[in-house]
Amino acid sequence: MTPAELKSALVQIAVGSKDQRQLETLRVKYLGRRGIITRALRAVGKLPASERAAAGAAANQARGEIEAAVRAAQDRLLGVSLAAAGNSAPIDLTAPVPVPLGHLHPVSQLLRQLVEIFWQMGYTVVDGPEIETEWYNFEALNIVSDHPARDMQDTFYLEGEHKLLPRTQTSPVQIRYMETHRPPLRIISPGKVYRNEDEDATHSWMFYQVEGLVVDEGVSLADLKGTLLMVMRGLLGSSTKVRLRPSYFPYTEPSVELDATCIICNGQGCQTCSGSGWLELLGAGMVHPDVLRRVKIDPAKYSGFAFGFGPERIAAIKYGVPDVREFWRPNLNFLEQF
Amino acid sequence: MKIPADWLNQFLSKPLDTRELAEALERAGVEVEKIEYAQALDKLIVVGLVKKVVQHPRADSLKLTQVDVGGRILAIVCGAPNVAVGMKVAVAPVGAKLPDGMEIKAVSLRGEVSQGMLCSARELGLSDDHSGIMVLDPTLLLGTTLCDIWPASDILDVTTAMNRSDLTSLWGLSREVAAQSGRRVMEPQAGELPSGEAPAVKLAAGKRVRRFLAVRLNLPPVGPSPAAMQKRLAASGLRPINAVVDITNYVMWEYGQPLHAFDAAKLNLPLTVRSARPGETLVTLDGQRRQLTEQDMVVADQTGPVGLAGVMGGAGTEITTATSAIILEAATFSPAGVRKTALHHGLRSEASSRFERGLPTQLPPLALARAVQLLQEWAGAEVVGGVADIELDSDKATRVVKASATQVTGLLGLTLSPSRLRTELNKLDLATTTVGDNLTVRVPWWRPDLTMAADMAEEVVKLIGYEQVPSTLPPWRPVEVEFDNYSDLIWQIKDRLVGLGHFEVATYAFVSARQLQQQGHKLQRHLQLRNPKSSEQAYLRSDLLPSLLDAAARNQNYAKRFGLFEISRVFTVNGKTSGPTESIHLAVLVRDDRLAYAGVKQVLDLLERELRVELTVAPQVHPALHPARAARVKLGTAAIGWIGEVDPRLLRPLKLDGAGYIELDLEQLVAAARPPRYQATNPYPPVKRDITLLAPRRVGWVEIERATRVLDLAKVTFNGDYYGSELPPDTKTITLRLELSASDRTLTDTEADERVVKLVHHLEKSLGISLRE
Repeated sequence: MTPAELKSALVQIAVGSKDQRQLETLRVKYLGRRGIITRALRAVGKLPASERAAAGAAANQARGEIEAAVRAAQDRLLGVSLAAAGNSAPIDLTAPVPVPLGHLHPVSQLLRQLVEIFWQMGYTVVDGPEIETEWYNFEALNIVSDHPARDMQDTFYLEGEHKLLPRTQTSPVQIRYMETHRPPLRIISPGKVYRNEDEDATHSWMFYQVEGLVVDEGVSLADLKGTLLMVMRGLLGSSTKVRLRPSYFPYTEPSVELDATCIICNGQGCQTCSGSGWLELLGAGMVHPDVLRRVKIDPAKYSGFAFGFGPERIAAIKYGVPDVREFWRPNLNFLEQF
Repeated sequence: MKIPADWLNQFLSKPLDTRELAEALERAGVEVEKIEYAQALDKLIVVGLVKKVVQHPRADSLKLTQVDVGGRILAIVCGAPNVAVGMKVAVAPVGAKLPDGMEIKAVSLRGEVSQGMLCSARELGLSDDHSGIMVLDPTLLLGTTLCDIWPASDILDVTTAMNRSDLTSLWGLSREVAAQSGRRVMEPQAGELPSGEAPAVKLAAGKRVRRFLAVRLNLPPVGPSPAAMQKRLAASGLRPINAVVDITNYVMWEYGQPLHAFDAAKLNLPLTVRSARPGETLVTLDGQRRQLTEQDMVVADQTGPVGLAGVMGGAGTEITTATSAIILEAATFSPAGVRKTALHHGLRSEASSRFERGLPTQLPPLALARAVQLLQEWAGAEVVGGVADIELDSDKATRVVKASATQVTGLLGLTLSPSRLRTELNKLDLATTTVGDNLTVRVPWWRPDLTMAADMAEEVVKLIGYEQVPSTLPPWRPVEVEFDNYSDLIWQIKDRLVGLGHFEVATYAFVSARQLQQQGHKLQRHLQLRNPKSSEQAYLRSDLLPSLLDAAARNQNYAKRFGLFEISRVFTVNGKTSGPTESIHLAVLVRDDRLAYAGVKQVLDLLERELRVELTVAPQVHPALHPARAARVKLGTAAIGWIGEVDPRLLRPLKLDGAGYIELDLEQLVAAARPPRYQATNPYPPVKRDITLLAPRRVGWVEIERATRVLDLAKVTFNGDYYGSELPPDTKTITLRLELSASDRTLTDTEADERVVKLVHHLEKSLGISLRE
C-alpha cells in the first residue's frame, strides 16, 4: 500500500461512511481476514529477509492508522445517532424525579443546632427524668407551695401518693446534676416540659425547653450577658445584638429577660417583633444562693448563672410559623417544608 | 393592673409624660403590657338628669325616657336595665361621636323616636363594663360637658413580679418611677386615726390573721362617688358602684391594701376572724352561694360568716343606698391562708391576689386612715368612737442587710465604688452606709423581698441600667470532661431514617383510656393525671403506637405510602408502691397497603447494620399487632421491642389500609452499638452460585443463615422466597446466593460444586431443607 493509497483510504473512512454499515464494509475491506492490510501483513513473510523489517513496519503503521480512523469514525457515527436519540428516546431533562427523602422535625433541627453551639462552647448535654417530685421541680428551686409563684407554671399532677408531676421545666436536671457534680460546671439540659395551660398560637401544654447552667468562682451577670450574646450570634447570625431587661424568677437573683435583635427586620422594627426591633427570647439570671446551698455548693465561694428558652418559639420566628401548635400536630404537609 | 397615667403622676413631685413613665417602669422591672392613649370625649356628650321613665309600648326590653340636659329635654329610648328617675347620666345626643367612632343618629326604635343615647362605661371608652348605663355623681351640673370634668388620661397596663407586694399600688410604683427619674414621691397625707370606743373584734384564726383594724362610720344615704374618682376607677378596670365601695377600691389602688366595708346595721358584733365551721355557707358579693370548709378563713359576726377573709365580702352585709353606718375593715392576712381559700373557691379577686403576695402589717392603718379621710370628704361620713386594732405579730419597720461592695459588684461584673452603690441604693429609700468595702443597708418595711447581697445587686443594676453591664465570657477550667457518645448516635439514626424517606414527628405524650384499651393495654400499668385537660389526655403513654397511629390516620390523604418516626420518653408504672419507669423509645410506622412489614423490617435491618448489633425477630402475639405478623425484637436475650404489622382491625376504623410498626428501647439499642471492625478483603474473586431450596414454611431465613454461617463454606445471602400453591403442602422455596471463595486462590468449578453439595447436605440434615430439582 502506497502512502497515497493509505491517505485515500483514511479519507474514505473518515468522511465516506454515512452509517455503521458502510463503515463496516470499509473496515472489512482493509482489516478483514482478506482485507488489504491483512493481506499485506501476510505478504511480509514472503519477502526477502532484508526487506521484511521495513515492509512489516510500514504495514503495521498503516494498520494502526486505519484502526484509529475506524474507531474515530465509529465515535462520530455514534455521536450522530446519540443526538438522534433525542427524538427516538426523548428525556425531558427538566422533569422532576421523586426524592425519597424524609424530614427531620423543625424543632429537632433547631435543638441539634443549639446543642452543636453549646458543645463548641464547652457545655455538657445532660438529660433527666420527665416525671419529677415537687422537691426537684419546685422546692429546690425556691418555688414554695402556697405561693403565687407556683401559678407561673400551672402544673399537671399524677394520681398516687407520691405527688409526682410531669416536670414544668428542665431545671430539676440541673439540681440533680449539681447533687452529683462539683464546680466548675457548664451544662445544658434540653427536654420536654409540661404545663397545664390553655393552648393558643404561642402556647402549647407540652413543649421543649433548653436550660443552661454555669457555676464557678467569680461568674458574673456580665458573663451571662456575654455567653448569651455568643449563643445568639451562633444561632441567629454574627451581627446579632442582645439586651437585658429586669425580670423575676424565684431561683435567680438578679433575674433578667434577654432580647435579641429581630432576625426578620435586623432590628428595624417589623410585625414579628411588634415594631420594637427586639425579640424576647430567654429568661435568665444569677443562681439564687439558696439553690446553691441546697445542693451543698458554697455561695460565698461560687456563683453561677442559669438560662432557659423555648426552641419552638425560636423555630417559629426563624421559619415564620404563625402558630406553635403546628409543631405538635403531626401534619405531613407542614413537616415536609423543613 | 391598669394605671391611669395622671393618677400615677399625682404621686410624683414633677409629672412625666406617659412614654417616660413607661420607660421608667420597664427599667425598674415592671412590665408595661400595653399603653392605651387617651381619647378626649366628644364635647357634645354632657351630663343629663333622668326626669321620666316609662315602658316602651311595643318592646319589653326598652324604656322611653325624658332626660334634662340643662335647659332642654331629650326623648331617649334606652335599653339599660338600671335606668331610673333621678339618675345623673352621660348623654350622647344626636350628632355626638362615641370613642369607638360611632356617631349617634336620630333613629326610630319600634316607632318611638330617640334623640340620643344614655351611655355605659364601655360606650364612653372607660372600661369594659356594659351591664348598664353609668351612673354619675349627683352633684354634677346639668349640661356639663364630660370632657371638661374628665380630663383624658393615658392608661398603662402593667404586670409586676410575684415577690413584690409593694408594686400592686400606685404608691409603690411611684417609688420606682421616682428613683429612676430623680423625682420625689408625693404620697397622700392622711390624718391620725381617732381613738375611743371601738367595734368589738376577736381574732381566732391562729397565724392566718396577723393584724386587724376596724372602725365605725355613720353616713348620709350612700350615692355615687365623685365623677373624677369614678373616671379613675373605671379607667383602672374597677366598676364604680357607690361612694363607699369606690373609696375602698380607690385606696386599694393607692396603697395596695384591700379594705372592706360592712353595712353596720346588718352586723351583730363582735366581728370574729376564724376558720369556717363545717356546714356553714356564705353568699359572696358575686351572688354565689359558697359551701365553706374548715380550710376557709372567714370574718363572722354572731350569726355566722359575713365575708371570706381576704377574698370577698358577703352579700348579706353589702353597702346599699339604705346604708347609714358602716364598719370599715383593714387587715393583714397570711398569704398562704388567703391563697388556699381563693384556690378552694376558684375565686381570685383584686384583694386575694394582693394578700397572696404577702402584705406588711404596717399598711392597714395607713390605708384605713386614708379611707376614713376620703369618706369624710366625699361621702359625708363621721367616725363613731375609735379604731379597733389587734396586732398579733408585726413586721419590722426596718431590717438591716449587710453586704460587701466587692460581692455586689462582682456578681454584676461591673466596677462601682462603694459610694456609688450607696448613692444608687439611697434613691430607693434604702438608707445605706459604707465602711470600707462593707455596706449596711436599712431596708424599709415595704421591701420584704430584699434580704441579701444579690438583691442589692439587682436594685443597683436596675438603677444604673442593664445596658451598662459589659459582655464577657467566663473562664473555663474544667477538671474533667464528660463526653457524650449518645446524642451523635441518635442523630445518626434519625438521619438514616430520614434517608429512607420517613418523617420525624412530635406528638403529645398524653393519651386516652380508650386509646390504651383499644390497643390491649392494662390501664393500671399507666401513669394517670389527676388534673387532665380532658379525658382524651388523661394517661401518660407507655408506648408510641397510639400517637403514631393517630398521626397516620390524620395524614391518610397525604400519600399511599409514608413513614413516620418519633423518639420520645415513655412511662410505665410497675406495681402500686414502686415509682414510675421511664425509657426512651424509637418507633417507626410505615403506612403501605402491600409491603407494610417490609417497610419496618427494612428499618430493623438498617439499625443492625448501622449500629453493628445483632437483633433477633422472634414471632410472638401482641394485642395491637397482626395475629400472624408480630414478633419480639431481641438483643441477645433481652427483649427490647416489637415489630410487625398493625392489626387490621385497629386500622379499619382509621381508614388505613396497612401499616407496619416497630418500636424499640433506644437506650438499650444504642448501648450495644459497636464501631466497625476491619476484615481483610479477598483479592481472588468469588465463584457465585444461585440455589433454590424447598423448605418447610416454619423455617425462617434467620435459621438458614445461622446454619450456613456455622459451616463457613460460603457467604450466603437471601435472594427471595416463594409460597406457590403448586408446592407440596406447608413448604416454600427459598433462593440463596452463594459466594464461594478461598483466601489464596480462585476456586475451581469442581471445588465450588463440592462445597455447595456439602452445604445443602447440612441444611437437609439440620433443617429438613432440600435442593429443589
